[in-house]
Amino acid sequence: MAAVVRTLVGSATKLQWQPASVLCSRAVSTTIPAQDPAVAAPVSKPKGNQKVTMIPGDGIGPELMHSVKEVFKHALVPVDFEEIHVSEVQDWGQDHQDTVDKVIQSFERTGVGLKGYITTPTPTKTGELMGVNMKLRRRLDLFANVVRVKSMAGLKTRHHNLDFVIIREQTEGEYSSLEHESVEGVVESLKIITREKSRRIAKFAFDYATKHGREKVTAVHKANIMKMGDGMFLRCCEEVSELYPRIKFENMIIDNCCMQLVSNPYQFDVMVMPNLYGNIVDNLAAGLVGGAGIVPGESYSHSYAVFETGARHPFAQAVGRNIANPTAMLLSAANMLKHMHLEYHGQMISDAVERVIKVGKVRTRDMGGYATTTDLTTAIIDNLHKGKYSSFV
Amino acid sequence: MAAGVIRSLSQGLRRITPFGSRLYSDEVRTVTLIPGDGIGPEISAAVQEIFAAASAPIKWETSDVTAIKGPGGKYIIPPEAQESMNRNKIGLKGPLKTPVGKGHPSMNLLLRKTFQLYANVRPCKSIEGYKTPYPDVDLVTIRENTEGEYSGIEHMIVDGVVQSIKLITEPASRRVAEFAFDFARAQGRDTVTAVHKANIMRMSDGLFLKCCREVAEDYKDIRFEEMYLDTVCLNMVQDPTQFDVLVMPNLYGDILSDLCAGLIGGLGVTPSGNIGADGVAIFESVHGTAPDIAGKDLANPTALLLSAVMMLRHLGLHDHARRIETAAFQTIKEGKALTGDLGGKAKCSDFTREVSKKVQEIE
Repeated sequence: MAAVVRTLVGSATKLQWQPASVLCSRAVSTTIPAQDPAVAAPVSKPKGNQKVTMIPGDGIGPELMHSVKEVFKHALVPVDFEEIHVSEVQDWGQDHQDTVDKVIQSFERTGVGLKGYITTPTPTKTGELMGVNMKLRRRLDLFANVVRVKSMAGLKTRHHNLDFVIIREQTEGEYSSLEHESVEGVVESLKIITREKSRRIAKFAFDYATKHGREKVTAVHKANIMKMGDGMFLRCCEEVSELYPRIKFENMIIDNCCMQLVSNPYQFDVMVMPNLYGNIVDNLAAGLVGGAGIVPGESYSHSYAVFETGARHPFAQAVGRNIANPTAMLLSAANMLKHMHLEYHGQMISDAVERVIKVGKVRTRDMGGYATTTDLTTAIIDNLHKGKYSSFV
Repeated sequence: MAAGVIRSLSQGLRRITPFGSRLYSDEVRTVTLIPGDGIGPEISAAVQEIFAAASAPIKWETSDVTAIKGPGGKYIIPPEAQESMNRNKIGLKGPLKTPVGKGHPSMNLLLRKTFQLYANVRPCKSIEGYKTPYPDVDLVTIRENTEGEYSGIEHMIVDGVVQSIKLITEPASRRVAEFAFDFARAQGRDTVTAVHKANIMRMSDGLFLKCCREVAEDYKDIRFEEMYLDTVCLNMVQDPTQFDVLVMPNLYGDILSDLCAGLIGGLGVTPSGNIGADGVAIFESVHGTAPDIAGKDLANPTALLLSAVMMLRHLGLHDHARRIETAAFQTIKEGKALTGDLGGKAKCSDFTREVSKKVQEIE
C-alpha cells in the first residue's frame, strides 16, 4: 500500500507541483528505498534540532538568508538558527567588540555557521584598521578558505566543464592590518608571512587533495619579487609536498596564473595561495563559471566551519529589489548540512538547486533571466521533494 | 585603438614636457633600440624591416643593455645606453633576460629605476582574426610602477616570520592618477576607474584612493569610478566591455594587466609603454625571451610591432602608425602568415614579409 502511494505521489510530482506539506502527509512510507546510502532518508530523527549560527551581514545578505530559511523549512531540515546581526555600516562609528564577542560565543556553542558579507566602509570613523570580517576570521582562526569552482550544468558561460579548488590562507599576509604613516604622505603597510601558517595551509591543501582524490596542487605566489615573504611560502609548500608523493606539485606566479585562468583554466586542480592572491583568484574564478551569485565557499579552523559565498560581495545596489541570486548561498547552506552529517537534506537541496538551473526556466538577472529572488527560491522549493527524495516524511 | 592610446600618451606628456613641438615635425627621429635577448634580435629586425617598408622617419640607434657593476659596486646599465636614452628620450625594447645569480637585479627593474618610469600603460584590444572567448575587449590598464608591494623592503623579524613592506606615497599616487586622467582626456575615453583594496588596507590603499578622488575633482569631463580589486577581477572575466581606463598601484596593475592580456590572447599580442620623468618613454614587448625558439625564426613579432606603433603615435606620426597597424591586423585577420603561437605555421620572416607587403599597399 505504501509503495502504491509512493508511486502515485512520484508520478503526481512529475506532472504538477505538490506543496511540500501535502506531499509529506501523503507519502507515509515505512520502508526506505534502495539508493545511494549517502542520501538515504534518515531512519530515526534526532531529538531536537541542531543549532547553527547565522550572520546575515550587509547588502543582500538578509535576503539570501531569508531564502535559505524558506528552503530549510520546506526541506524539513532539523536545524535552528541563532541569528546575529553584525554591520559596520549600520552601526557607523561604533566599537564592535561586543557584537564580535557575541558571535564568538555563539560559535562556541554551535561550531558551524552561515555567513553573509559584512561591508567594510572606508574611511572609518574610529580609525580602526581591521574590519569586522577580519576580526571574526582572526578570532575564530579560520585559516583556510576553500572555494570549489565548478561549472553548473545548463548555465552558459565562456568556459565549460571547469572543476578546480582554490585554497586560500586567510589570517595573515596582506590582511595583517598593520599600517602606519611614517611621515605625512608616506604610508607603510606590512605583509606578514609566517612559516607556521604557510605550512599549515600547505598541509591543508595536500590533505584536501588526498581526501577528495585530486591529482595536483599548484602553489600561487610572487616569489620572484617578494623573495623572502612569498619565497618562504613557496618553500613551505615544497617541503610539505614531499610528504605527499602521490600528488603532483607545481607552482605559478600570480600574474601568469590570472592570465592562464582566462585563457586555459582547465589546467588547474587544487590551488593554494596566500591571502590577497586568494581573494583575487576566488573572484576571477567565480566570474568564469557564472559570477558571485553561483559559487559557494567555506572557511575552516581547527574547531569551526563557516559557510559563505565563494566571492564575497555585499551587492549593495541590489538591496530590496528582490533580484539577488540565492544559488551560491543555498549551495553553501547545503554544503554546511553535509558537513553537519545531514547529507540527506544537504543533497536534497543541492540537487534541487542544480535541477532548477539545468532546466533554466527560472533565472535571476545575473544568469540572464528575469526572475526574482522569490521566484527562484519558490522554484527550488518546488523541486525539493522530487525523485528519490519524495519518500521522506 | 592602440592608435588612440599613444595619441593620448603623447598629448598627456606634452603638457608636462616642453618638447611638444618636435613631436609633430616630419624630421627623422632617432630612437634608441634595445633588441634584448633570446628572440629579441629577430623580432627587432622584423620591426625594423616593416618600418623601412613603411618608410617611417625613424632612425634606430641600437644599444645593448646588460647589467654591469658600477663604481660603487651597484649594478647599473651601461653608460652608452643611458646616454643614448637621455639624448633620444624615446626607446623601443625587446625582452631582456635577468641573469640568475645572487644580487643580480632584474633588468626591467633597473631600467625602471634609471629612467624613473613611473607609469606602465597597456592597451588591450581584441584582435580580429585571433579568436578568444572575449571578443570585444577595449580597455587600458595604467599601473603605478615605482612603489607599492614591489618596494623590495623585506626582512625576517624572527625565524619564520617575514615582513614585506608595501609603500604608498602621496606624490607617486597623485602623479599616476594625473597621468591616467590626462591620458583618458587626450584619448577621448570617458571613464577612469581606480582599482584598490581600501576595505582591507585602509591606510595605504586609502591614501591611493584619496589621491585619485582629489585628482578626479580637476577632471570634471571624465567620469571617475572606484572599485575593489576583487570586484574588478570578477567583472572583468564576465564582461570586460564595461571597463575603460583603469588606474592602480603596482601589484594590482601587474596582475590585472596580465589578466587583460590573457583576455585578448596573451603577451604575444599585447603592446606596452612606460612613461618616465623628463619626457622619457620606453615602449616594449612584455613577453619573455623564449630561449627555446630563439634563433629559429619562429617568434611572433606582433607585440613589439604594436609597441612600436604605440611609439609612433607618441611621436605624432599618426599616419605611419595607422598604416603599420592596419597591415599587422589585416595579416592576422587573413590568417595566412601566422606564427606558431597564433595557431599558424608561418615563420617570423613570412609574417614580416606579409606585413611589409601590405604596408606598401595601404595608402
